[in-house]
Amino acid sequence: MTQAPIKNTDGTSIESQPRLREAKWTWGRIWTRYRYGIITVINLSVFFAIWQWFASSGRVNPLIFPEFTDVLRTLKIGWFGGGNLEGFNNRMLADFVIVKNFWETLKIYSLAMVIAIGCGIPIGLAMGGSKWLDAILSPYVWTLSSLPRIAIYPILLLFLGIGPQIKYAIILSTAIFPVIINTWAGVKTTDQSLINAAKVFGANKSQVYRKVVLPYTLPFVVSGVQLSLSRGLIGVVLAEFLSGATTLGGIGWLVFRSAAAFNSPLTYAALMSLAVFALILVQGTRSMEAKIAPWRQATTT
Amino acid sequence: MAELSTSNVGRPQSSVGKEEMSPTGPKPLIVTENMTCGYELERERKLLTALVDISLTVHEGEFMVLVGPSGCGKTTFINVIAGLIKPWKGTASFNGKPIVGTGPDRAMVFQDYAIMPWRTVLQNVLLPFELRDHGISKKDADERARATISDVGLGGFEGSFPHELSGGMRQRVGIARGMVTQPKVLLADEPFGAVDAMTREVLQGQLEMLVMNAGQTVVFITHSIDEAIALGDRVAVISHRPGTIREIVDIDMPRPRLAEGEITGDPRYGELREHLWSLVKDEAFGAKDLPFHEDPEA
Repeated sequence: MTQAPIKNTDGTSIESQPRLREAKWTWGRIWTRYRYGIITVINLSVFFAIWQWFASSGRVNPLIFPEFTDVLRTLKIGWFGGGNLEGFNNRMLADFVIVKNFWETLKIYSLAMVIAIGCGIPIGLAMGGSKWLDAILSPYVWTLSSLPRIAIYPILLLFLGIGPQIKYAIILSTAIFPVIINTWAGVKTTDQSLINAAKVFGANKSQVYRKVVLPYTLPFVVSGVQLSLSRGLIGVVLAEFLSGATTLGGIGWLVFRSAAAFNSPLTYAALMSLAVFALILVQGTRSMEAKIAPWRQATTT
Repeated sequence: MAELSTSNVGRPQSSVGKEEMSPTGPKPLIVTENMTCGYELERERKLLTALVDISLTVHEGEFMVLVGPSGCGKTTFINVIAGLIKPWKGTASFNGKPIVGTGPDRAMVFQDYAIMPWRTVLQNVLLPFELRDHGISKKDADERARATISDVGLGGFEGSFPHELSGGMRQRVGIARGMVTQPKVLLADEPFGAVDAMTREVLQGQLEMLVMNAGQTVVFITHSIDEAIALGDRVAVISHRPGTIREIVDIDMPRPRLAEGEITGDPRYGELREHLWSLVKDEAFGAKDLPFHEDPEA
């Protein structure tokens, strides 16, 4: 070896510094990386601590605002059973009461969502694809989707009574329109130059639809479904508020009735269960679009 | 391919009024006669005439460039040749037959690339074979697509999605898709209008080489005079809307023009540029919506 190895200015060999190196763990790096998790844990602990302090300070009626520990205890009984109800607010509270009502809600909600999505997508595609269908259905779709849905419930009640049918009707009426409108918008806004390109290379009408319009519309459908899932959740809780069940009316019913029965720990426990479910559902579907249509993320930024 | 590229030696040197085919010369491929065309502005309920009385012949193996100010109907012309729209008056024929709809022997490269974002590079280039039967097996189509992709300089990117590529690379996909079926004519609608200036020069040079090697007939639209001189065998200058042909200028400069680097130093380049600019300048300033029109000196 005749040639002297190239050195860095500080005299170290250039090979000693590869372009990608492992960074050492320091408190600063740990903080930068996990700060949101750390902040959230502290934040929530403080929140629940203040809650507990405020509720137990006697400044507020426990029938309205329960102690956090009572809510935790109710959550445990409602979800996992085996509760000792001696000396505890036991109106409506029973082993597994939350999980049973939650399951009831989930059954109706998921079936209604399958119907809403399964009907909404074809309707949206048909409206987007056919000027005639668009002209005929538009007034109904736009009126019903703009109308505050709660206004039609008196009529629905007259028609359907207070049985399970009204739950499906209410969920469908809130959940189907985002799917229809988003799908329609996807078809309508399909890039004309992509359509022209397909035509130049020989696509007939059905090929244009299958190879350009449908894939272009897919991410619109996904965001429609996301919206519809959260709208449907509003619908199902509302429907349960209105329904006339006496023993098992779903999680919304449990919130409503337990509040009416002044069992505030149960109201808050049911509400928190619902909140966690909604959070998981909405956050879970949020990443769906990025996975299904990565190009939309890249082109819009 | 070999005989086609030798025919490049005797490239047509015709200009206006000298459009007749000589018995030995290259065959006219695209012929339009007194073609008038436009489109409907649906919202304003108006019919807009984009082109008036266009008579133009593009010969086999020729690189024809249409240059003109924006909004002069260049795109309308190429859309007629592609078969996307019909002329209002006059005729447009391809290979001796009137143009009815799109056809396998006419491919197109678009200004906004128009490649499908949900398809990989390879899938995009294979699209023409999926949409039309070009009489070759799936395996051959795949091989040819891969070869074309590496011809345009995208070898190794077959599995990439368009959003992972730069603008220049996306247009390479567009060019590969246009050339993969070996069409009789490649229609290019301002293909380099949306890419940055440096990439544009590289792409121009590569397109020239590709076209020379394949003996490809090209109809190329641009609003850049430099691009027109760099690429065209003939340049048709289109006037402002409604567009008519002002003049057809032969670009009698040897090829390849861009492989060696600068052609702008050539004195002939300067003359041609000045001549084309004098034609286009009036048109650009004559545009009704520009304040220049008010100036009596202009």
